[in-house]
Amino acid sequence: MNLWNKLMCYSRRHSPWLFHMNSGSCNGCDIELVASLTPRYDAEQLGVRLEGSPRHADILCITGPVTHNAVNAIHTVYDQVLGPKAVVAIGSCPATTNVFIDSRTLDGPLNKHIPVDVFVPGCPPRPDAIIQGVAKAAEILAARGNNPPATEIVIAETPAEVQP
Amino acid sequence: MNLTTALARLLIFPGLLFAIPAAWFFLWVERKAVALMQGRVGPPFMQPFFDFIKLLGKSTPPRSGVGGLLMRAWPLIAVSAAGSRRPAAGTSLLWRL
Repeated sequence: MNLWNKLMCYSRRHSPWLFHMNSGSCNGCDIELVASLTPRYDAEQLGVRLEGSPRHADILCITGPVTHNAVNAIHTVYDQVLGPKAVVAIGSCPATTNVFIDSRTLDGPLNKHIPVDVFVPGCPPRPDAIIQGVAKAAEILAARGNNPPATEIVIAETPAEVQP
Repeated sequence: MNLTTALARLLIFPGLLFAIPAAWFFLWVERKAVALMQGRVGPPFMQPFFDFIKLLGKSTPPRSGVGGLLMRAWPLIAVSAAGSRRPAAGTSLLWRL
């Protein structure tokens, strides 16, 4: 690995830009994702920024069980994120469809449609867990580069030492 | 102003070699100042540089109906068009060329 690749890998790990997408979520996880970017949790230390366009983003944060209406939007937005990219599924809903399992309005879970790199379980997950999930996704993204996503799944756990 | 001075002004002092790191520095100053006022740590010193390097490594979006070479060259054309309108350094150099 030459110097330029090392620098690129380091830069990718230190500047993950997020795009937040709701696929039929109850808004609980969306509020927690926004809370993880507030001054109290200070995700900017890791270089995290919330971007308004998927073209600018590296990491796609998806909340919610996947409803039928959201499937096309998920594919469109996933294709609009430029590579190298990673996907973080926030909350229990995109992982398992949670309490909405067997609902006729759903077409989930999320990894049926797009490859998911990190699952952050919780209903909703704590902001600490979301930040940890994003940091793990940034590491995966930097290690992977422009190669296709692997099938191995990472589950981010809530840090044990966190006090509410 | 001879050609050497013009080139030095365009490429080194008020030009590229000075202006780009200065832009990164002031971006960092802005973000860090906001962070300190909010009582948090804020981005590391090299953050705008990391963002720049990372953006260089992003892939190019596929476009239909536009030639690949022109698509890739277009940002460079836009930058040189903007540079030729710089009042102090750019014009005198480009008038000579």
